[in-house]
Amino acid sequence: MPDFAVIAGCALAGILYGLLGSFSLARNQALLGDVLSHAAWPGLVLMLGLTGSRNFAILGIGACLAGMAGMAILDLLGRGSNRLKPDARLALVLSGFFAVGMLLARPVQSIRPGSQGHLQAFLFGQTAALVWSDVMVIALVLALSLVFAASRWRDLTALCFDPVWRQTTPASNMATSPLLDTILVLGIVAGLPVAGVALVSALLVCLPVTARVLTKRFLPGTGLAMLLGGLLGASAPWMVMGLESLAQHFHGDSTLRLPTGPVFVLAGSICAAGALAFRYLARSRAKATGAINHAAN
Amino acid sequence: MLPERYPAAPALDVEDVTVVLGDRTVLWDIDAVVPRRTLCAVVGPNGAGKTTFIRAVIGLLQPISGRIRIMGESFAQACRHVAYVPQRSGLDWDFPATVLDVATMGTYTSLPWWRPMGSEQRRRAKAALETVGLSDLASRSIGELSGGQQQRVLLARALAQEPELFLLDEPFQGVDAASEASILATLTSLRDSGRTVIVVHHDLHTVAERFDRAILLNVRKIADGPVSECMTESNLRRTFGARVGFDERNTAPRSMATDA
Repeated sequence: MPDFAVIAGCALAGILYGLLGSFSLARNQALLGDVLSHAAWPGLVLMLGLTGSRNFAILGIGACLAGMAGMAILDLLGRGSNRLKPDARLALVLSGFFAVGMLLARPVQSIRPGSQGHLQAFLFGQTAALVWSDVMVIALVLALSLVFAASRWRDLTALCFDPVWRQTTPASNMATSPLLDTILVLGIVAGLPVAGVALVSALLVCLPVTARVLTKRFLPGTGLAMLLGGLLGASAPWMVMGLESLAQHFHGDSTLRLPTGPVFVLAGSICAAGALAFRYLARSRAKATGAINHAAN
Repeated sequence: MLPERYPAAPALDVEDVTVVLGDRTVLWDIDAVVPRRTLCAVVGPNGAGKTTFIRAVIGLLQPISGRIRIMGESFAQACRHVAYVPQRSGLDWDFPATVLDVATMGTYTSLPWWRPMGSEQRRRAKAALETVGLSDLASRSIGELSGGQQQRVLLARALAQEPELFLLDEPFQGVDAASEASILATLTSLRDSGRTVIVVHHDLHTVAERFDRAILLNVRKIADGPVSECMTESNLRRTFGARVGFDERNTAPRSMATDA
């Protein structure tokens, strides 16, 4: 039986990423989450070096600050007359911040002995080690995101579809876009214990992609992405348990331990691939039927 | 709902407006007046600053000098009476929404956030779709629309805002003839019902035939006023250079579409 904190943490993270990812995807910013998770990394390392704390609530503050700095630099690079194209901006911030984090990791490990495994856990995620305080952080960010999304749904929809037109309407709120960016940073950081810097953003993409393929409106699509995230998250620890017992059954190897985060991400990616394949088949079938009808007429 | 604080003020009054983007002067010292209840075209070659002109009017760009008044008020005060129809090509048509969803966006402004969409909002959105002839496609995904239909959805969204002043940026670009005729008919009937419509437009022929007024732009304002007065051969030459051809009547300039 998997730890209940792990199940709850994964399920809540799945719901959170279904929601936030729907906005990212609709704004054509699917890669932004990956950039932000890498941008948060040096903040987390630095905070560990400065405080020596293992408490995620404290390390998370450093990660959030660094993530915000990454967001600000992205914005800055996109301004002025010598602005960069979005892909170049994203690549620069991602690799630049990550390099700083890797550079800091070495001295931090020597100042704080025994922190290597801890840092590694945030880099690649260590879902099985989720504790209730981690889950509370995710729950808090999820609650915040839900309140924000529910209270500004129409403004957010307009922001995703037609940000320029939205600015000309009296209902638009100047704070909506920066608040959404801030909540995205918080969400990414809160999910680091689940999937780590490297994989956390995959959830931000695969859940809404699946929902987008299966629905044609924004609100039902967002709901489906959240539902799917919650279901996959809650079942990921069980999938891990199942796979481990399969391995034991066929190889007699009882020491094999599979990581929960990657299983979660992989399950989401399989859903996205399955949905895309389903749409492809449905369309080619509709086309074939259409051609037959056309020929019959 | 009319902003009757300044009932005598023109729909749009632009004074001494200069806009600089980066190190380039895009609009230089523009003066223009658009009276209410008119259908007005903004005409000029590519790069003349037509889109910039519209963007300055709706507050997306800050002029470095000059003053813009909409029905006697600043844009911030008058914005609830103004609807902007952007260029179709600037939008992501893969966004998951139906035709009715986009038309409904025009009514977002009429409700505080805690109030759900009511029957009044649905009625307005549906009436707007009816006007542009898209009622049959209300539940269709916007990604499946033709260019002309996409343009009509954006017009429907503006109609649902129920404004006094419409600003359209190149609404006829990449649009089939039937949609163009339908959009023009809608704009004309808006003018007839007392609204003011300002359109950035390429085709000089339709301007001469269907519009009341024109603003000729090429960084500077070349002319503005009733079409019959300002669309003269010399003004058009000053606007477009020597590229404009004229037909045998020597009054109505031929379409620029082949030229552009």
